[in-house]
Amino acid sequence: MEFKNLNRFTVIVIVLSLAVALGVAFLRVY
Amino acid sequence: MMQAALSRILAYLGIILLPLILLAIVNLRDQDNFVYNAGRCLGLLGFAILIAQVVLAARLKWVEKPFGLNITFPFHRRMGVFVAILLSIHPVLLALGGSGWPLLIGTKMPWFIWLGKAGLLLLLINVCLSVGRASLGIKFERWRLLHDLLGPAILILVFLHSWNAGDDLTVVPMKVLWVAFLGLSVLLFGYHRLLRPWLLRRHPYRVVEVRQETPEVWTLKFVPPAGEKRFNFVPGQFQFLTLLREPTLPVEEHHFTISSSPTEPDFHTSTIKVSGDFTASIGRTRVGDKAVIHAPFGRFSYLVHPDARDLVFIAGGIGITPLMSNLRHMRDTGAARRVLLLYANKSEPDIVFYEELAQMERGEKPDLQVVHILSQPRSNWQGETGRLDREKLERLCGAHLAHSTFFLCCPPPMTMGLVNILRDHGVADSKISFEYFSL
Repeated sequence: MEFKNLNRFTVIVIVLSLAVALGVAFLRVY
Repeated sequence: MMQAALSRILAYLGIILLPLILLAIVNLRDQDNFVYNAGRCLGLLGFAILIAQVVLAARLKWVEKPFGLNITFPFHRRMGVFVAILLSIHPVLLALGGSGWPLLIGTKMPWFIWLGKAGLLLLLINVCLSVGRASLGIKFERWRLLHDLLGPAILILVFLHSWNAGDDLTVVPMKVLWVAFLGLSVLLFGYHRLLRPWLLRRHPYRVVEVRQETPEVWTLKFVPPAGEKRFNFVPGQFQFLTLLREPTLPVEEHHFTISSSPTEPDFHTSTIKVSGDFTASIGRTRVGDKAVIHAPFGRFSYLVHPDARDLVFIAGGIGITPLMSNLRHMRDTGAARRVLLLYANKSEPDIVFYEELAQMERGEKPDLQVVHILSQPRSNWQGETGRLDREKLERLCGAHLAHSTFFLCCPPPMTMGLVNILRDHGVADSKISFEYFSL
């Protein structure tokens, strides 16, 4: 991975992890 | 290499998402509302990211190799900021979801909630110190000591908080995972900060030459312990170096580029400029002093671009050192590459490796052209003057802009300015490599 892709990669990791966390929270309730 | 990078990325995602996936498998249904559950899930995610922070920071070769530390360390920093935000939102969502505002502002609460608050406070302090270290004027060594104390303290506080407060940690698989996470972080921290330094100190390298290159630049030459081979490296990589010298001189670990070529089988060198408290003493290093070396790291090498025939190297001052390692390797292996070196300095006496570069220019391989650019030249200087700006870069590179691969090693503002100019000219990011080592 090139350095310039790091920010993009970080955003992907953050969005993915938040999506999984909120997804699991959603599935537990509904 | 893509496969290697992918396996590390999947391993990282595996660590940070494992608690949520396990939770979804073993204990999915819950009576609480969505907001409260979201708060709990962010807490679980936050602890896993904290564990992964230790993995990123431990300088593990397996983790670092496909990216370079100058990728994994900045990623560690970005994720540090993210986890601080995440764990700050965690109690807010719990309060909104039913625990009520006393959770945030009340004083009568169980001890493990206080531990969680203390962990979060230390995490916020740690992130602020790390992000603002330079502007706060904190010395690197002092910051690192604080970071080494705060990191484990945060992990222990957050572990105790979640172990006692977390409803989801009542099921056995989650308890096992939590203990395994804590065990992994303790083992990695112990290895990184205690065991490995101790092992490296038992086999120190030896300084066999201290050569002054310019009034402010020194080259140290190292040989491995008797009977041992020097570590393997590729040109352009760097080392973590701790010099063990006379007792009055600082014993600190700093990273320095290796300036020699790996084609020299018995030794390696670092060329170091006086630029701070530690490097101010570099000229007082003596032949026979010991050097604890952890290496190699980094990917700033022309060998990473095997198909690139035309290269442009841009060096600002002491940034010449990794490029010199690359050029020496090309010379020693007869590499058929065409290289334009733009080398910016203040004045003639500041030019490091002037003679050797001139000699290389006269040789056939690599096909090297050196352009010196001086910002404060003497009156009789015939070459380029001023700063390496857009006009100069465009004029000096000419046709190179269309097809060359660029390697830049300059101070960060200069690097970013030049990278932006190259991008304006349509140079693809994959053809621009630069050293940007910053925690």
